Formats: sequence, C-alpha cells, structure tokens
Amino acid sequence: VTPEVPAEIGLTFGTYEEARALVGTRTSVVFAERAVTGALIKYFCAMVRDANASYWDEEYAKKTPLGGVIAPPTFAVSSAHWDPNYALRGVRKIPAPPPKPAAAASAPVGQGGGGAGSGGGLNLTRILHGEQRFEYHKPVRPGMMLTVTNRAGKSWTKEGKKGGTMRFSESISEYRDEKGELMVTATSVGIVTEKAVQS
Amino acid sequence: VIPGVDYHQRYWEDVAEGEELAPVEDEITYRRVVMNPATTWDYFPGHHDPEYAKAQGQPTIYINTMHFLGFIDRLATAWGGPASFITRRKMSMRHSIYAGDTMVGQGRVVRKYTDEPGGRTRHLVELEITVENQDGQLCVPATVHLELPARQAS
Repeated sequence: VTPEVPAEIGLTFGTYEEARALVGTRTSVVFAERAVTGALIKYFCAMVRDANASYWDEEYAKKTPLGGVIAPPTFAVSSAHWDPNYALRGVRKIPAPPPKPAAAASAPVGQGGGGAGSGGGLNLTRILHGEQRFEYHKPVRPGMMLTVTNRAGKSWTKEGKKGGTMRFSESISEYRDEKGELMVTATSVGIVTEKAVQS
Repeated sequence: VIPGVDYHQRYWEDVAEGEELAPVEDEITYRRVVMNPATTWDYFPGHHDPEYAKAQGQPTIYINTMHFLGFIDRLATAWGGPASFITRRKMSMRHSIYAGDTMVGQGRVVRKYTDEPGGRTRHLVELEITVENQDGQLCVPATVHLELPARQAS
C-alpha cells in the first residue's frame, strides 16, 4: 500500500525524520495542462544555445532514426512548462530570503530551486544537493501530454567531517506520456547534514 | 537547411576510446542567467535577484540546474550529432556558475560498447564530461551515455 501525499508537499526534505517518513509514499500524478510544443522546445534550446538539428528542423528530423523533432533531454525536467502545480512558476509564493546572512553564507551550491515538485521553504544551510541521475527511455516529442509522479527512494547515513552525520535520501520522479509509457526516470539524492555546513 | 543549425553527424564506428570532444565555452552574462528562469519558469530568486543571492552569501545570481543539464546535453550531442540520443546522464553540483563567469565544457570518450535491451542492439559511448568556470574550477562533473547511429545496422 502506498499512501498518497499531496503533490504540494513534494519530496523536498526538511529533516531526516520527515524525509524518512516519506519513504514508500508516492505523490498523486501531476498531469500536464498543455502539450509539449515545438515552440517551447526552441525557446529552451535558444537559451542553452543548442543548435542540434533534431530540435529545430522537422524536415531533417523526420529522416533520422529519431523520426521527427524531439525535445532535448532536460525539457521534461523543466516541468514548469507543462506542470500546473510547479511551485516556482512566479504566480505562487516564493521562498523568503534566508533570515541570517551569516549562517546562510555557508549555503552550498544547489540552493533549492528547480526540479519537479520542488517547493520552497528549505533549510538552505543544511540541505545539499547530491548526485542526480537520469535515465532517458524514449524521446519526448511535440504533442505529448506528460505526467509526473514523485516517490521517495532509498535513504542512508554517513559520517561527514564538516557537518556531522549526513543523511542521504533519494527522490525519484517518473515522467510518462499520455499513454502511460515511461519517458524519463530522474533520481536525485538530497543530503541533510546534522549541523550547518561551514565551508 | 536552417541557418545556424548543426547537421553534422558522427557514427559509432568512427569513434575511438580516449577521443576528446570539442570543448564548448559559453559566456554567462546577467542576461543569460535571467533567460534561464524565463525559459524554464524557475523563478527561484537566486536565479534573477542579486540582492537575494547576496543574502544567501553568494556573490550574485547563479544559473540553475537545468542550465547545467542543457549545457552538458549540448556538449554531448553537438559532438555526437543530431541523430544521437542521450540514454543516461548523472551529474553532481560542486560549485555554482555566476553571472559574469564563463562556462567551459569538456569531454572525453571513456568507453565504447553495445547493449541489447528488448532485443534491439544499441551502439553507445560513455562520455566523461566536466563543466568548469574560467578559473578552471570544477563546477559540475557528469557522465553521459550516448547512443549513436551505426553505419552498419546489425
């Protein structure tokens, strides 16, 4: 039995205990409110300056083994394009700046934005973003209506030098097309440290 | 043919282990950093508000994870060609890229192999990729598995 947790909670990690309580839970499926389009794909590619013909030229792409224009791998993860619940779209409340600049000075890279279902209000000094792994099963294409579910994966601990005990928790996002076929599996490892990390 | 679009294709048979990918340099101006939230709808203030970033103890605004990912993908498929397909990628964030930095991507082929998921032969290479800043500081190490077209379909 996988108890459902509201999508708004996401699988960001406040404390290790909170993260641990989420193991085995699964968010409700988030459905796209609009299809992937060629225009959104080009918009993203223009920002990254990616001139790959498979993103830009339908005539060409039809003749390759890919069989038509595809979205770049990162497109599915930039889920605000299609996920109506995305927390940082700009129409929702954004996280307040950290209250103590001195404590926040030890904030590592990562900073808590980005990613499917990520919310605000993270304890920035104690959460590090670890490794992120992605598996691309099939290309995302214009016309697809994507869905995503997030679930907690494994969690484990390790003794760190700077921050005391480090708690690792995996968050797994599965992106599917409108037929339910798996397109992308994204696994991100969040690390919560016992103490604020002094760099 | 669309001007500015890259059509050059590489085939699996032509790749050697140890081969270096063409490096890519990208100047990250304030405009580029802000373009990112605009195209990914990631309005986390650290990516567009220098005051917020400074309150976090950062020197100024910094690019988001999706920009790093997109840059890594660009490096890999600009080398592999438009018919190549990224099957797997892992990365970790070690250091940020800030407005005013230059992002430098480099890569190397560490393995050439085939597999047969579901009976279909895939021709793959494993790439080791680094994203550094202009000072040679490692920001994001990544590993990418890229499927390439083969001249001889098996």
